[in-house]
Amino acid sequence: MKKLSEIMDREKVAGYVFVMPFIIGLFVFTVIPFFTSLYLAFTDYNVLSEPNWIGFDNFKRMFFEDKHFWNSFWITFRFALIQVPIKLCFSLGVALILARATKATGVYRAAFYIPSLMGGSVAVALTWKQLFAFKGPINAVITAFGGKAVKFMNNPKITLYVLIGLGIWQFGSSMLIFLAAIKNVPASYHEAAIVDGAGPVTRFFKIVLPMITPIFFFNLINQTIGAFQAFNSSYLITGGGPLNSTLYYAVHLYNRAFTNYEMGYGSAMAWFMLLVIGAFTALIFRSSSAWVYYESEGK
Amino acid sequence: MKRILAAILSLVLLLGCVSFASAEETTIRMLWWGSQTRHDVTVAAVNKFMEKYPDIKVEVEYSDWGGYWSKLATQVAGGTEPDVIAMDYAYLAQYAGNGVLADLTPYYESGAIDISDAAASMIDSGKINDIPYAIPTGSNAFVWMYRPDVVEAAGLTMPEKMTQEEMIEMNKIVYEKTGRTNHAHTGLDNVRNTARNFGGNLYNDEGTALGFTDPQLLVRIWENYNKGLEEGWQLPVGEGTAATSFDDLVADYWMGAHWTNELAAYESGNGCELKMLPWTDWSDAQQPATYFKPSMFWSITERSEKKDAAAVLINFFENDPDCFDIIGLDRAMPISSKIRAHLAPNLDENSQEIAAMLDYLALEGNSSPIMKPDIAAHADINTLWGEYNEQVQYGLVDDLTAHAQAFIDEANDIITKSLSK
Repeated sequence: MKKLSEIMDREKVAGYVFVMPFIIGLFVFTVIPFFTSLYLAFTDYNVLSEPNWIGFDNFKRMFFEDKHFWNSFWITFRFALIQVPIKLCFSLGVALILARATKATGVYRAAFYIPSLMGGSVAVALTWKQLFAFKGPINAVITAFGGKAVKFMNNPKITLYVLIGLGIWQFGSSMLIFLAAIKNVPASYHEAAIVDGAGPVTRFFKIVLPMITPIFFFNLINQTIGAFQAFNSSYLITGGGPLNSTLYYAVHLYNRAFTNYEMGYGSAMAWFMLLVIGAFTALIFRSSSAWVYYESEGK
Repeated sequence: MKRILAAILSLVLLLGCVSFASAEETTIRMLWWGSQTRHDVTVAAVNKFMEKYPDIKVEVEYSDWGGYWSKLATQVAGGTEPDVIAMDYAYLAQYAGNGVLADLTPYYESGAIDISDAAASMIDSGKINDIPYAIPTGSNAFVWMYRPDVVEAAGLTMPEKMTQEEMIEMNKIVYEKTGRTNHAHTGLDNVRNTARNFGGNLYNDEGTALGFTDPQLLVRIWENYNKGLEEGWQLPVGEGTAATSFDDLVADYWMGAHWTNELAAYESGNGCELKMLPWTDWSDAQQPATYFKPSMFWSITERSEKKDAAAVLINFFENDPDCFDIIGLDRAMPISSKIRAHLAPNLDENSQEIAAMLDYLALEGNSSPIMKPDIAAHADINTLWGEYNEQVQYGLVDDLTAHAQAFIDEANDIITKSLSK
């Protein structure tokens, strides 16, 4: 029998031991639940008792009976469609400003990133809720200038945009990635362009923008996926209201699965969303050959 | 050598995570919901229990009401549910029906859980199909809690009880005199109570449909709301300042409808004195809406391997004077007559008020018998009512009768579907 030390000394074994925590975590928290939920999507699982196989009933109910299903789907779709482009442009703009090295930029970079650090946190959502409350600071400013107080949180036509505003405000992480990409554009390109008499606007559109398209592509996919999975702001700030106008898909799913104990139905909803996100991601990938520029390909 | 030493040390570290329970000691887990006030007193009572029963160790978990049911369901799904859990009337049928709860009959029979001092009707309220799955912690009634200072400022005196119509009138006067807004109750509790006023209930006894068919019952609730908007005393939706439901009596309202045992929690949440008024029946009501509801229950979980120890703990929370010296009336008026007699001389002012209110409501003509536990589709019906009600509050509904009829039809449809599953 070999000694423990001999076994441990083998390089391969040591490697496996080091990655083991990750592998275990991956299986326990991702892979197994992933396939379990696929199975549960075809059952009537109610959390409290054993699941029964019911075929495609959950999906039938989703598409044809649940009046909130398509409602929440389109709200989420609209949310993503509006938030993602604005957020990307906004974070790119801020990144451009912060790319210039002055003494204060370090402080600003950190300051702009803070909302994203707290992105998922309850505190930010509640702060936002108070800011836009009927007697909150925003309305105080509006009334101070002689305006009429707006019911931001209770107007089905407005509330979704308040939540979109919160999403855009948390632009820090995509901004940081843009910033890194902008910094990576070789200075020699700029110098050459300046010699040729190109101004800052021309340089942005002819050099910076093409050079950072791969990063733009990355951010676009990331933000699209994130927007489709949006949950916190609606759940914490509006609870899906008013009149279900901010009932995101993920919130509807949560209500079904965890409030009404319809875990099977919730799983089916989750799998449908996975397919939708997959389709959008594939679409963005397909389109990438038309607008993403990779230096290495030398096109 | 070093490596072996490291291996041993890490093994020790791992074992350290597993608690060392001595051989004779039984460890049970307990879960409940509630406010901070309740958590504090319950933890103190559990400590007292462990002092009296050194061979049983109790690990406590608690949550707010909203998180409780997802937490408990998740634990059941994972097979890690605690041995003793708090249960509610609205969920009892669902949890018992799915086999989560243990039959308490053997513990009643052996006297491990002593029910000899409790009214049979109370014990029966924890039964599903004649099997006791839960024992009530106490009884409660749904009443109004109001700000006496606001009533006084308006130059009014609160009568012993009043009708829904009189209350609406009072709202108007208070608003004119003090500018204080209030709310016409449009929650599902008012739907239930209004139906009870006219001989119905929220659900029928068989649990196969709503317990009323007349849309006018709902229309009169909404008409009061609209009247309040017209007269100015109804705070329009979205203009409230309260951060939680525990502080809405500070600026938004001067009345709220709550369960009697919650008096202390709402007083501390709002930071002001509150008084109680019986639920307001309609002036043309056929019977009082008020009923005594088991405030909550204790249950033992079916998969618990330490049911005997769990029964000892439940008995402590039902029958031990030492426990009630700490928790008082937090879980409502105890079901044991001995405990009630034990508490009577030492009740604080709040608890005396609650006891007096419950005594008053127990008088003939002030209350009517309780309904069956809520049906499994109750959560759905609750959501549905919220949607229909919101549409009225946003002024989107012209024909209230048609709107009410649509709610009744859709609710019955949901109940029928849930039964066919």
